[in-house]
Amino acid sequence: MPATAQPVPRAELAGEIARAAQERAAAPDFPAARIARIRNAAAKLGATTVEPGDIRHAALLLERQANVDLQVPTASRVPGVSLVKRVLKKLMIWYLRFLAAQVTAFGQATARFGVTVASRIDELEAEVADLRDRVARLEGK
Amino acid sequence: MIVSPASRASDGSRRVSRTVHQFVPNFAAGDAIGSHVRHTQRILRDAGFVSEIFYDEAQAAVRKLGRPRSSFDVSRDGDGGRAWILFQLSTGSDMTGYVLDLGLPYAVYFHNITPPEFFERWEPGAAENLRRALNDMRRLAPRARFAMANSEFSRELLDEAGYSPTSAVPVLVDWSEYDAPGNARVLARVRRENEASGGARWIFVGRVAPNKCQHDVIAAFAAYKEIYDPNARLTLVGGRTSNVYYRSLELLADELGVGPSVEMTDSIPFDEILAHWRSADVYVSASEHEGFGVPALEAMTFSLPVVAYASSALPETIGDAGVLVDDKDPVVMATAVHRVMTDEALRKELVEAGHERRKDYDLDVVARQMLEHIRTGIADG
Repeated sequence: MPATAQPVPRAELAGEIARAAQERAAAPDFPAARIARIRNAAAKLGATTVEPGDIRHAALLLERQANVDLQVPTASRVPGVSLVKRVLKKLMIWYLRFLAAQVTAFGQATARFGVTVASRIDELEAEVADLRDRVARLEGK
Repeated sequence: MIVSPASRASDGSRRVSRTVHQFVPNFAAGDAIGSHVRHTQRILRDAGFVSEIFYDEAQAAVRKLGRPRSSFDVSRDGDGGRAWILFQLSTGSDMTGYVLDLGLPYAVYFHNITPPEFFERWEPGAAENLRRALNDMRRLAPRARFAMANSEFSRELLDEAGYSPTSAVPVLVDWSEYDAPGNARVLARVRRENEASGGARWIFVGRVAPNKCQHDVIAAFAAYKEIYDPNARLTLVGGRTSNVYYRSLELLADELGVGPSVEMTDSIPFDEILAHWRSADVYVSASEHEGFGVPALEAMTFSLPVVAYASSALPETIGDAGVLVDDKDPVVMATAVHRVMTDEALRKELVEAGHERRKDYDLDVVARQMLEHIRTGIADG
């Protein structure tokens, strides 16, 4: 890879910035509550992974995906096409709303089914664990 | 019949292949891969190679520059079994199996693949495609004669997948395309807004995708407005890779009370992108996964200081020509931007270093590297 033409001590700069941020956060007028709200709101959009066996998380994903977004993208790299898309969107919105409501309801019902199955499996697993203990105790006797 | 590309002719001399065809699953007009493919073809043809582009899907604007994969005929296009395939790998596709079954020697140019977990919660289908792409990457490794990647960061992934030999050759970009003035209407509108607000104009350019972490840019911007510059504005340029994520960004900006100061352009013509570049003050990236990071170099082209979270390939692409932060806490990133906006000497130094850095990626410089690696790979392969 190419070498940098004009090296400058950026590591020191990063340290200075980190210290400046800390000092600003320690100042009496620092808007701590507002910044905490910003951090929390952004953190909710970070990457997550769904473990293969995590039914509840999968059901939550399903529920989120089932919410059909009617804000159809109308931007375009091709001049003029954006206008056509906006017109079509206005003409079709009543139709899309009707379909979207049904798809969303179906998705929510499916997600609810998933959560119910997950609850039932949890109960069964607890019951099996209890039975295993009892069998083990009986075998011990 | 599989014939070595550097096989011996009947008189005993080695006949090195003069045919290198590129295979690209999705050939697009406006993206970095499409541009890279077109430049690669030109370089190969200028060097005397026979070179066609074969695609599975192509946008109308570039369809005539290549041919559909279904038109590939080994007896006609295969140069007697000596033709090479240069596979442009960035996504999962049926093309992988086709190339493996062809029996022709092939090399891979790796544009990197976004880890699926970034898309899991937003676009499960896209996450599945990325898992398929990673699988394709592993399938191609054993028989690839050589492989190139767009950065050292990407090259290490090739090594891990079992490719050998590997090398890093940056993406080919024709920087002269950025000399155009940009869309006059957009330029005038954004500059008017800048004058009216008097605050700094942040910009981030890249597809709206979860791995680019535009939500962290919005968070840092909200903190910046709160702490340092209440009149600041932010432009997020880029089409949607994920609709759901895009909508979440709009909602986030509204929730944080900065919605009116954030412009999300979605997919726009190139001249409008240029106008946004030309009216910005600082480029801010919070991306967690970049195979290379072309927009950082674009920012340097437009004399903008770069503030970026030091992830994936960005440190090697930016080098010392930008401010790299290891912590993307909103306050830290906001403070970094504040520093480059208020420290004139630093800003000047960054802009000059950026200009020098960008020269390392000039088209003719990278084209020479690319051609040398292809020639060496074919001769040794």
